[in-house]
Amino acid sequence: MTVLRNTQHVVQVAEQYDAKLRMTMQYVQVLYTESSGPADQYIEDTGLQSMTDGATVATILNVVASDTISLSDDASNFINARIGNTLSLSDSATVMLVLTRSTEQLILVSDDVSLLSDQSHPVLDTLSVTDTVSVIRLIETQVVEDTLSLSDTAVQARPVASTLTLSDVAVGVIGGIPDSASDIISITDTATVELTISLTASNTLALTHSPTGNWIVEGATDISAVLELQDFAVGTTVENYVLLFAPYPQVAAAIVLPRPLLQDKENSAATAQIRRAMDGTRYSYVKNPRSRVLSYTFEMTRQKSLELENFIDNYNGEHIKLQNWKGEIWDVQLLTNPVDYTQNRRSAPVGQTGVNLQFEGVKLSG
Amino acid sequence: MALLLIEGFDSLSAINDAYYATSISQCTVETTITNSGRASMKIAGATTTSVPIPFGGTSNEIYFGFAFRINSLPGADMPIVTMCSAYFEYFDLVLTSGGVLKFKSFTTVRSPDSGANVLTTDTWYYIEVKVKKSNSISAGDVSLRVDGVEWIELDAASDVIYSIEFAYTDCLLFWGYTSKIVYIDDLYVCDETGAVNNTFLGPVKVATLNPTDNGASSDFTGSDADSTDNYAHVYDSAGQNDDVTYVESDTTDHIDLYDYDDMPADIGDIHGIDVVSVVKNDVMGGGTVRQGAPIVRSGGTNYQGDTYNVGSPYVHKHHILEEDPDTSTAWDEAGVEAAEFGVKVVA
Repeated sequence: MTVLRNTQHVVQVAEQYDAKLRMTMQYVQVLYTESSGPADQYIEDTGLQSMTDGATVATILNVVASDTISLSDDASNFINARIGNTLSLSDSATVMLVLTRSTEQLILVSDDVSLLSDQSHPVLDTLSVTDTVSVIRLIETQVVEDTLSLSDTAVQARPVASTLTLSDVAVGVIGGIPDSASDIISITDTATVELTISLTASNTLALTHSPTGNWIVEGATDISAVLELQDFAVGTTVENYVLLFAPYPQVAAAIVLPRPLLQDKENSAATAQIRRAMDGTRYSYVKNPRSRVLSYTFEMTRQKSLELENFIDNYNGEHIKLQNWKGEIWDVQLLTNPVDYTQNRRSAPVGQTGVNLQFEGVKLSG
Repeated sequence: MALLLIEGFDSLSAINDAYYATSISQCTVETTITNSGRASMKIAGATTTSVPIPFGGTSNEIYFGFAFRINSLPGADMPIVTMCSAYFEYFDLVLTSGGVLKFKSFTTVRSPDSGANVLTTDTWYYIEVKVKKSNSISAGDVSLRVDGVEWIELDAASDVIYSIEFAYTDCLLFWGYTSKIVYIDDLYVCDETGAVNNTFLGPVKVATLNPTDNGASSDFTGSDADSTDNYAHVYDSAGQNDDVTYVESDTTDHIDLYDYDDMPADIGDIHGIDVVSVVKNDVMGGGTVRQGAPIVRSGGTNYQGDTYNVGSPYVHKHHILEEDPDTSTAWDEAGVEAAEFGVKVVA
């Protein structure tokens, strides 16, 4: 008998499976050209350039006129600008500015802008800097009618300047103004100035309010327009004033005094002597020099009197050029010796110290 | 279509993730020496080492550009790239031992060469080539630019093509050289058709953006069985990790969208974008096989790309857009950064 033996039974089932779409990675590739203006590139500009955000641009503007460049935010720029350019900077922009052979340029800087300007041969250049601007401006020689205005907490180092206006708490460092004319330096409010200037003709130094600082004037070789305000110099109101320049004509120092009190005097220095000879004849000796005697009584602050004392100590006996409130210019010598200072009041903003000075000399003009 | 290929190599873990290299060990992704982005392609092998990069297209005139760098000059003529069809060589760009560039048709040198203009070592150059598929070329049909400056414009010639059997150029073959290290980065290919990207693009770069957040739709299921952070499952910083992290769906019309990185700071003109999806069907089980499509969401509207079919191995599907579909103008930085990109189950 045959036995059928089944040792294994296998059932195979074919099962269909619906697939899933599976994605393991996705990315986007962007094909692009780099934006213009990396730090080592230059743009020759013929029109408007606006740079924002973190733009760093090296820009050279050549032979173009009336360009406007606007920088904002954190833009950094290096500009070599020429005729008729206007540059506006705001926020925390940083600029390395080189201006060459420029004419009638206007640069406006505001906010936290830092500006380093190296300018050669500028003419009629105007730079306005406000707020917390820091400026280092190197300007070479042959400057005419250049204007630089600083306000607020602006800080400036400026070797050459024709017109400098400092206000508020501005701090200026000025050095070396050779061979320039028609300079005006105005210092107002609490401005502090480290000033080294060499003025020649028709210069005016106007000090108002109570600026302080060290002022050193160099190169007094010609016309007596050089002012030296040494340590402890204090500004005074300049509407009515007496200016003393000494020694004359090789002027090395100057002091500005307020107008004298009423009853100032101008007398003749002429004298007449009558002598009788042995034979009884009378002779008259008349000395009628051109010189006149000026007597002025000043009232000034205590600090101003110390400055005057220092001036007299240095130049007593020297010829002094005197310019008074009437516009007269005199060549005088100081007659008063010793000079007595009187304390008229204990404390006052002005006028607590009195002093009478007598000068003898000739009028040069006026 | 003018723009045919964009490749920055930044999202590859290996060259063979996306391309067929003759030697996996000698053709690698370099992450230190790059012209832009995270990575470049490094070929450090023998003269037989090559990486073919196909770009498709049927045009008669091709422009392509790539960043090139070599660590030392070859001892003899070295082909940098071969313009070929189906891997059959016909036209080479050759670097000489003196750093001069020249074109060769098989063994025939075409004149002129780059003359006094030479490449030096360890420096990135952006090389661009215009080549016209013709066995007989006129002057200017083939030219070469380096860093945007024309170095070569071939004279008129005949018998340019080694084999006259080719229908069109559709593949670039990048070569290695014995004991030399070659780096390739920021590759593009375009043709002369279309209104834009139909000529030299100049020195360009490829920025690779990665997903940073889920977008307007999160229909797919992540490999962690939820959809809360799908973007993280399709962002592999060092290249694709296959089935380690992924998203998937078997439901028609399911869409997954993602926000992407912001653009690099040096973005200028954008010539185009390439949405690259590394996708597959999870299994070929005899049932329904899913079809997918890329999705670009711009201006609040979803724009669907071409439907693709994929098998069970992962493949790179490219979706190139030269314009923002929302504006029908060239992409700008804001447009790219505002857009979302993703994938859809079409069927």
